[in-house]
Parts: sequence; structure tokens; C-alpha cells
Amino acid sequence: MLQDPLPGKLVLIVDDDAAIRRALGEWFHRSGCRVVEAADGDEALATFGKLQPDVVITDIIMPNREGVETIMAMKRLSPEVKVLAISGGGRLGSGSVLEMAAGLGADAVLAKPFRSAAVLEAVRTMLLPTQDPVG
Amino acid sequence: MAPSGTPPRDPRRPADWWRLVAARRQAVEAQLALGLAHDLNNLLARIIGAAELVQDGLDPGSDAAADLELIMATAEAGAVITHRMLAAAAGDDDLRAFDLTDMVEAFRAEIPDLVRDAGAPEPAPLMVAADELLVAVATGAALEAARERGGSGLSLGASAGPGPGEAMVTVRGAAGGERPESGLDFVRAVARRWGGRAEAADPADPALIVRLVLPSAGVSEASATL
Repeated sequence: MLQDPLPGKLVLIVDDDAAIRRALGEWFHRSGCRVVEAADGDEALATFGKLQPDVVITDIIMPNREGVETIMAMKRLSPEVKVLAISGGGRLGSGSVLEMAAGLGADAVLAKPFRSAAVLEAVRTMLLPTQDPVG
Repeated sequence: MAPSGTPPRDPRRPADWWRLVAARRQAVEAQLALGLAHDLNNLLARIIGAAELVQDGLDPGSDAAADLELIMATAEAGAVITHRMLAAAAGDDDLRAFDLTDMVEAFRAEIPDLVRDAGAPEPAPLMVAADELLVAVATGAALEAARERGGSGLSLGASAGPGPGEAMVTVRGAAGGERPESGLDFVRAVARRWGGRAEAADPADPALIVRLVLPSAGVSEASATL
């Protein structure tokens, strides 16, 4: 049986909604993760540079610096970081913000609203080692 | 008599004008639906998040836990509605794409006034909203530049920019590499009048890419070659 990859991981939660940050933070804290929070992309990048989190969960539509730009900047700094993009919806150009996030560096995306099981499962899946093809 | 709230239809306006007005109205409705759905989804996320945190501390068989489960299930039912709103709003792309080439003749009577009034302190009589403005900017710049240079061949395109209220307007000169300065000046003048700004991304580039920033803009794509 695979070991739960969550305990001990440092998770950076980025969302301009404090209530959503609190719920996400508690869910990951109760799963054994260490949690840091940021309220926008600028704050997230500053925290990211200092702490080098294992996982980033970021909203897309935020003040100061939006999520897609934040994801691209983080992936340039640290290509191995795992990023889950979350959003209540919206469009950039002709595509949805989550489609755009997936195309520009997010490892997984999840539409709001969601329960803890969905977001924890999404992050566990991102953290599991990718299996090499057999043969 | 026209229904309340519906402006009287001016028969002097060309059919394309009314097509544009209808498309504009649908684009605004789609933007409204997107914004509402986004904000509602965030509220539903708060409800589910808080309810689940409280539920974690309760006996799973308790009445309170069952009530919280009902709250979360109701929030999820609300999300089905918001996701339907998002899907419906996403279906408006074809309505937000304007073929400028087809509209040039329709706008030809309107654009000279807009050109003459560009830079004036008072709004021009032609009150266009943001995405119509982009169409007008591209068309008007093409007409103005073509008139000044006594020829045609100027090519323009306008598309949504990277940020809210931003559009990228591309102005290309005719064969021979001439710079369409009048087109750029026009874009700048109109942007100023509408409280925005226009900057050439690279002034040395023979195909001027103009970043047009307006208070609000929702056009998907527009282009014309005259």
C-alpha cells in the first residue's frame, strides 16, 4: 500500500478570500502538512522564494498579481514544485481560467466549490511518484 | 410603441449596427453571468469549508452533523447552477467575434465623426461601449490612415489583451514597409478620450503592436484589411 505523501509537506495556500484560506489550511494541517498562506500573487511569490514549499494551491483571479502569472513565475523558479490551481470560474481570452492555468504550468486544477476530500486527493495524486512504463 | 426600456430602433442605422448592439448586449450579459458565478462559487466554497470544519468535530451520527451535511449538499446543488451559468456564458464566443471587413461600409458614415472628435474634451455623439470601441478604433484608424496616405492596404487587428480592460491592436503598414503613424496616433487619441491609454510595445517594429488599455473591454477578436 502506498504511503500517504501528505504528512510533513509544506503547503503554500494562495487565495484572496481569508475564509477559503482558513478552510484549506485546516484541512491540510489536519492531514499532517505544514501550511503557510498568502493573500495574493505578490505575497505568494515572496513567501515562495523564502520557504520553497513542496505544494502550492493557488486561486487564479486575485488582486495585485493573478494566479496564472504567479504559477508561471513559480515554475520558472522551481520547476519541480507541484501546483494546484483553484477557481470559482471566469475566462481569460477565449478559454476558462482553469484551462489556461493547466496550459501554463499548473499540475492539476479544481473548480470551486469543493470538499476537503477532493482537494486532498488532488494534491496526493500530484505528489505520488510517476510510474515508469513497464517493459 | 416600443416596449419599456427598449430604445426606439432608428431605421437610418444599418442592419450591421443593430447586429453589433445585440452582440454587445449578449456579451455584457455573459460577462455579468461569469462574474456572478465566480463570486457565488467563492461564497459556496466558504460555506462548504466552514461547515466541514465544524462537522469534523462532531459525532457523525448526531443531528448537528446531519444538518451540516444538508448545508453542504445544498451548497453543492447551488454549484450545479453556477457551473451551468459558466457554461452558458462560455458559449458566447461567436457573438463576441466581429468581422470588421464586413462592417467597414456600415461604419463608414459614423467613423469620420469619431475621427474628427478624437481628442476633444466632450464625448463624441457616437457613444460606443468598450468592445464596439475596439472595432471602431481598428476601423477608424484604417480609414484615417488610408485617407491620409491616399491609398489602402493598411491592416489592423484587435484582440483581447492579457489583463482586464486590455486589448492588443496590431497596425501593419502597406507593402513597402511604411509605418502607419496616423493609425497609432488615432488609437492614442481615442484611448485618451475614453480614459485609457495606448502604448506601442516596440516602436521600432514595422508592425506596430499597440497595447490599448480601457476601463472595460470584452471583445474577443476583430480584424480588418482595407
